[in-house]
Amino acid sequence: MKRAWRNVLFVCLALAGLALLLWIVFHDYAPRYNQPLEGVAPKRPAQPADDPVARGMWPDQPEQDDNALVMVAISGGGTRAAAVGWKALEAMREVKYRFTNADGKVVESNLADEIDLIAGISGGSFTATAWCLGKEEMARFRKRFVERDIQWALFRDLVAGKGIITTFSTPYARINVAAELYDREVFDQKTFAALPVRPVLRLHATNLALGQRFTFTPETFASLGSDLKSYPLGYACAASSAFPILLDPLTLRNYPPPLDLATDLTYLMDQRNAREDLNKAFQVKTRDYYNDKNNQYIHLADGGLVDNQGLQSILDEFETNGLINKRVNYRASPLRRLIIVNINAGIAPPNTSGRSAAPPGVPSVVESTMVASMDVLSARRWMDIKTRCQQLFAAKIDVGGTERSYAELQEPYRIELSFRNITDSATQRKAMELPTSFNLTSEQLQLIDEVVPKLLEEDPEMARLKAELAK
Amino acid sequence: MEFIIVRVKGRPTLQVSVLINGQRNGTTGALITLGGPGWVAISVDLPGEKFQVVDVTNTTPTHPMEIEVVCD
Repeated sequence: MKRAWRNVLFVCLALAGLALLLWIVFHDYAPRYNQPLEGVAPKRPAQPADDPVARGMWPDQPEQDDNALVMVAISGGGTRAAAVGWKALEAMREVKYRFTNADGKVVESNLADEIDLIAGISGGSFTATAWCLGKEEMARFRKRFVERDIQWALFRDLVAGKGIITTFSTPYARINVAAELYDREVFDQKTFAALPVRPVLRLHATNLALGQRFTFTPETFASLGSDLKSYPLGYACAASSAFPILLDPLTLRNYPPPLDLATDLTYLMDQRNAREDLNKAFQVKTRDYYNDKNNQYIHLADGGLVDNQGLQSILDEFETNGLINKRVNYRASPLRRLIIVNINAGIAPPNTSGRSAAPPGVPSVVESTMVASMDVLSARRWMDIKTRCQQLFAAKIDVGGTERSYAELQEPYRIELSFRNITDSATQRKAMELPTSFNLTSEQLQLIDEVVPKLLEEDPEMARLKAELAK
Repeated sequence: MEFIIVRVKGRPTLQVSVLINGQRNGTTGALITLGGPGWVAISVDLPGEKFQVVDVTNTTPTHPMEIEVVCD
């Protein structure tokens, strides 16, 4: 008996010793962080007097219709969202887009190739990123992500040893294992430097300290004293899809020195408008937070927590100095078409809690308080975009088209691709019950592949656009 | 949305870029659309320009706020 106790004690001591050893080895094990800017943060380069790129125009790409702005937002929803986004972009490629370019040459293009800006949230961020990397990447991406069991790959990496590091390291968490997986096996270790100038990619996460949207742009990274170009795309997608509880937040470093905000006119005007305009107040708060270099770390979670469809990204472009705003004010080459495509993979499985006297359990409460409220916010943003488009077109009516910047503007197109618009009730029910995970069966992917082109085809705004393009 | 027309004092027909909050956005003498009401810093792309801060509210395309920018 005494010997048995001695053995138990020995095993416990050995395990404790092993744990101590692992803790000593791994407790400081750090993930790959964003890199600091070399030297002093560069000032924003002087803008040429007539910079078309700042207005969403690409004069060096004659296959691009500079009289149109095409903006796409792909929602969150795990692999379901990635698959819906992928198929929607494929379907947009089938929409013929013919125009005469600045050289007077007729260009036969398609709607997808005309995309100027693409925003992605969570699962949608992966597809948006792959799209920006080019057509070949999109074909590979289908196999590497959409048709793949990502959950299994993540589990494999955790079991293969990285799980031990996440247990003993303070800064290295499960999300870092996911980030490394996406970096290595989905995006070939490509960083933001691999992205072309066009289309503009907007990946969104949520800054947990502020409860505000975090967008991976050079400007945001400059506020952190950091360089976006060297940051891996897979890591940004990991941050965008780090759904709370299931995955830990992803951490960025915030490097000194602080920026001189006293000379930043946008910041100063936002400060002045903050009392009347809460959006400006949030922007000031965010800039102040990043400029306080005591906040050495920025913790990011799923972008869907504050904007699950990426529509705020489009709304921002209507604001003063946003892409749409600058394009409208550019008289040299008036805007003719503003096309906004909302690719929404949101679902609404039936909620049966009203059929029972028992109070809803935790999952049902989480569903109602988090997911449902996210959907309500997104629906409001879609309505806000409608209002903004109406205001823009009303301005044209008010000036009678005599103002050059409005002379050629057509009524903006707002194309919505959403399961709620499926007309067949049995198909809609099936689509609405698709899971939110990083693994879909081939039958589930087949359903998406069937439904998505039909939704695009049946959208009344798409029909209006096609009629216009056929003229 | 709000609307302004910016001119350079003493040179009403001059066409140069307008800077809104330090960024080029629009041309002098032409209608400029702003995203929303509030304070904006307006200047023009000329040497010696000085920005002026104006509150733009309740304008329409047919009744834009006229802003005159002074240059040295």
